[in-house]
Amino acid sequence: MALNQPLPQGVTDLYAQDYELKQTLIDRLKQLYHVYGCQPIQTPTFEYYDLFKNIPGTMDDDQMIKLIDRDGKVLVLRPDATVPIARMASQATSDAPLLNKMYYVTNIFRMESGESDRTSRSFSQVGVEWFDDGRELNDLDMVVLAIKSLKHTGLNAIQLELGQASFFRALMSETDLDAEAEAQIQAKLEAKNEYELSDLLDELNVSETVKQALLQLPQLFGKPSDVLKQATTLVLNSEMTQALDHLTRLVERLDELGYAEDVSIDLGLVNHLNYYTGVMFQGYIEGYGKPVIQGGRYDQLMTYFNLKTSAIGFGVYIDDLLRIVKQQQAVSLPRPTQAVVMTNDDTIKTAMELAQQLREYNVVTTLASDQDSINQAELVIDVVNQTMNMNGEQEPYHQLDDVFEKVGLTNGND
Amino acid sequence: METIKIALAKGRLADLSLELLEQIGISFSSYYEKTRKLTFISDDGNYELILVKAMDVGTYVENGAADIGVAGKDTLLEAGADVFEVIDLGFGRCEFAVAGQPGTELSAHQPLTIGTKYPKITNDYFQAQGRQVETIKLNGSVELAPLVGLSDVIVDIVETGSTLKENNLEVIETMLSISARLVVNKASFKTKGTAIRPVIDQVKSIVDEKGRVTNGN
Repeated sequence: MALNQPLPQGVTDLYAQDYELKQTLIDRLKQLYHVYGCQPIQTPTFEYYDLFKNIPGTMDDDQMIKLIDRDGKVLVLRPDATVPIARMASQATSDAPLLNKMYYVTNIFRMESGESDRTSRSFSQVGVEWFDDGRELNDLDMVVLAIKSLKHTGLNAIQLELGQASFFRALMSETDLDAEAEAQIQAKLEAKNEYELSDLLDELNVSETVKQALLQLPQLFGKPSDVLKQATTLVLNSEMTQALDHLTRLVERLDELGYAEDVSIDLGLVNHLNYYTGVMFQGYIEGYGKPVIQGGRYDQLMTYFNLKTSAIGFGVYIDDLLRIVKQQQAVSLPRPTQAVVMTNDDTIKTAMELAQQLREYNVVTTLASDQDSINQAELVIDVVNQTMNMNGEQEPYHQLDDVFEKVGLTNGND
Repeated sequence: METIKIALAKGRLADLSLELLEQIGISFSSYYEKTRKLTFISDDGNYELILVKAMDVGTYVENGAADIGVAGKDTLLEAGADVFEVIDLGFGRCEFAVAGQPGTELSAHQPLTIGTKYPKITNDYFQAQGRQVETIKLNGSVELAPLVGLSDVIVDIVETGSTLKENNLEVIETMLSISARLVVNKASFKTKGTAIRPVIDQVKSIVDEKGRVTNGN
């Protein structure tokens, strides 16, 4: 019987080269976060549904993949990386004190219906969370780290877009709309759909000044100096001014540090507004249609866990990054020297000892007893006939030291 | 400059869109030669036109295979593309409606079975009203379904209503009106903003001048 077992939708296998590339990307990010003083953490693959259900507006209920525990309680496969980390922090004791700067490499599971996407239901995320005191310097630090995260993977044409959750919040405080109406407005803003937004605002009887400001939001993106200048004309209260001042200072600092080319502003960035409370950012790579990094300040979440701390963090979508890096061939994997040691039953001891010595020099070495498996190797050593073949040139050798000498691995062991 | 890729739906929507683009100085002369090609380069070499199936425009733009596209609101709602929907172009205007044999009472059927090419739009519409329906996905000749007893009613796009009349069906309930939309890939709008924004602004000023209610003809 031929085995033809299909995979469920939205998941994928990763083969040698792709997986190696993915691990390389992850390693580079881990190294970066390490030198930034972040410590690695891990949370369980599944947790109680109640953990996520009780935090309004962060997770779409329908998107969680649920399981039933033995006692009938509902479990979910990790639908988000940050909430479990906040949970973990709230349970930290004096024995296991709360780390304040962490990074994670994890798989996220969602019940997305994306028909064609191979990683829509299980995808990898690498990210940083920082439970801090909310100072502006930290915003700058994290934005820079987000930019570096993308550049560190070998990509240069990046665009990190900054937004401010409190700008929109402060604008909406001028109205008395309920959460549902606000969500409708957000959806239109998110799609930059001015026409339908205009109709909706008329329907909701939003005052003319607020309406005019909201209708401008979809256009308020691009070069920071232009956007900020334009935005000051829309200010209706002091909170809006504060939000703009905060962004202005952030952008000025980024300018000083030489990141002017890499950042832009979008004040119409209103997705995940139930989550973010201050600066927000998402990063794009030229030529790729989706953001590959997403983050911001999220103080609100901490209050659900009775944590008296501010928090800022971001996640990098590794699978998307992998796709781009492959497309643009931005990262080349190191290809170590490959060797094959040819042997028969009588020469096994010599062959295995030789192979071991070669491996100690980081030469990728395999044993073979027929010609088929030697195609890719630069170096073939035949211990039966005492010949070696390097890059197509065949010659005999007398003792194994000759081999090392020939390939430039001077053997200092004997 | 990198070329800007524009995805259009084969047929009338493409013709109307190209007329509009011509008004802002983007012409594809090669499009009008009799050819089976699906991609065309603009006369100035700055734009590339891709012809795709109407239902796929959103997909091409969402995934960045095209930077800009023109798609009917119907296909955007049905396929649920995550794109910027920046301009209501005003043309391609028509109505979504529930249609059936004369005298059909929607409330008389529990659950109501509906034949349609648009199961998502249909389900969203009835779910929002708290009505239970069963949709049957069809790929064409939807009008046939109520006649042969496959479904109680149909949900489809109605332009003139003549196809319905020929099959002895009539509109029972109008649902929502739709029109052609100019959509933009979310990343392109940011990373290729200097090339894309002028196009959007020019199209917008033409559309706004004409008023949103005209039919583009």
